[in-house]
Amino acid sequence: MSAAVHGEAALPTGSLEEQIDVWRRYLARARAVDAADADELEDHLRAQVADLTASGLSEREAFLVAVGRLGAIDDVSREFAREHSERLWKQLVLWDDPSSGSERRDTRRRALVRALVLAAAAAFALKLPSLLGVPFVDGADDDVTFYLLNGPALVLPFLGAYLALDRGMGWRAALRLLLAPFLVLVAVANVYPYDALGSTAVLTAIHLPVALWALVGVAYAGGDWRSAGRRMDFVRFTGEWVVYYVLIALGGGALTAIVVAGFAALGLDATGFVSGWLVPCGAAGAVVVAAWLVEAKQAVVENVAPVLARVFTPLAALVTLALLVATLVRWDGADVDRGLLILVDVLLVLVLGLLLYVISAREPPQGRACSTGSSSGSSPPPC
Amino acid sequence: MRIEKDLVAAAAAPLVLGILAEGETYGYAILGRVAELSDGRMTWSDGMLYPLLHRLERLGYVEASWLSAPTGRRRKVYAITARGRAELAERRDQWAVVSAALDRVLVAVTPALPPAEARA
Repeated sequence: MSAAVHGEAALPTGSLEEQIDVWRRYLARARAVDAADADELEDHLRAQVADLTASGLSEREAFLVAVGRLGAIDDVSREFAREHSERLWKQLVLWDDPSSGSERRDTRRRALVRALVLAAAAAFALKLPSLLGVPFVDGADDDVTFYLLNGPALVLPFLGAYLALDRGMGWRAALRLLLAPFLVLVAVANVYPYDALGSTAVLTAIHLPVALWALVGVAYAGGDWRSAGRRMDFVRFTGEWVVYYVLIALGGGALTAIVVAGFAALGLDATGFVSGWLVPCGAAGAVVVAAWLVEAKQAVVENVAPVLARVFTPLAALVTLALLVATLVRWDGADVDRGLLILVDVLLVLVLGLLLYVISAREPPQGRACSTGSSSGSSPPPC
Repeated sequence: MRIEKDLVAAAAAPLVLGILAEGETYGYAILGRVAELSDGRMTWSDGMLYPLLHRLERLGYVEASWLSAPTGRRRKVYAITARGRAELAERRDQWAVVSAALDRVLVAVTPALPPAEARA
């Protein structure tokens, strides 16, 4: 959230109607405040402005005072959230809440349909090679290497497409910033003559997803990857996406176990279907669905991921330290196991992610809750 | 003199119910009446009134309906219900007990407290 949330901090110098319009848009971001509440607050604002202008203030002054008296939108929406906590849950999936504006409802539904279609496409893309003769289950080392290298490259484009479509990225920008770098990366990764399952292949398989994820970030920023704010948003997005993905994986795992056990009890062997179709398709589809969840519930459950990151940062530091000490103790010249180096590499990516995430989750230092700063008194909840 | 925040919060619900018992009205007018009744000394962020009204509505103490205001926009108007009146009577009795107890102790110790001029 930026300082702009405080309504009065970033008002344009337009007419009263324009100012109220902008204010409504800030208000609409607060998910606990629905359209009817916003109507009610707007009615209040207009009545206050009318009174203040009648007593001699200019419209602009009256508007500023009225907005200030209403209280910081953050505070008010928090108070609404306390009273209407059920709305926060509804907004996670229920886009048919009759009280919310039809425009917002349509956007929501479009995003869901887009996510589901792209999730299905991602699942299909992951299965496509196996339909063309590269077996996914029980393949030779070559085939395993192929999936190690290209699994993420088969799925992540659909996540990128989802985000790029959501941000309304133009075709030309998408071609230049997303598709071209993607093709170059994948081509380079596939042209190299690997030994099947050799260290180089594994190393590439570890790093390619990181590079591709950076491209997802470009899509997330709608092409505006130079904006530091958007990059930080993407770091937050990454953290929340991981949390949602793991949650989906846990649920999916439990469901899969029930499917296998259920069919086994009936004397049917479902493991082939499960490992050949259910798991890969589910894992691929969940990539897009998790992104949709992060976007759909923005600002509702955003506190989980920073907490997890804070818990795991010291643990990750300990593990890194332990590995480092063990490496030094076992050190015998240049002959360090390459597997360990690769592992440490993965660990560093993890630590970097955690660190960035903790930093990004930190609240901006300027007191964001105490900004009313007008003639009215302060109010519960305290700053 | 400004009234302490917690005291305002505790008085807000009975105050709003009392104002609605005078007749049905809408949020902005309720705040105007609060200012009038307290000589402008009880204030809170205007936006906080609405979650309170919604809570009273959920509890069944008030009923809300949308009317069209003179401006052509719609306006949400609140009216107290029978349950709301019962609740208000209950709050009034509670308030009387608290107020009587405070009065008794404060009257007794007032000579020992600094006068208003001295505190300013």
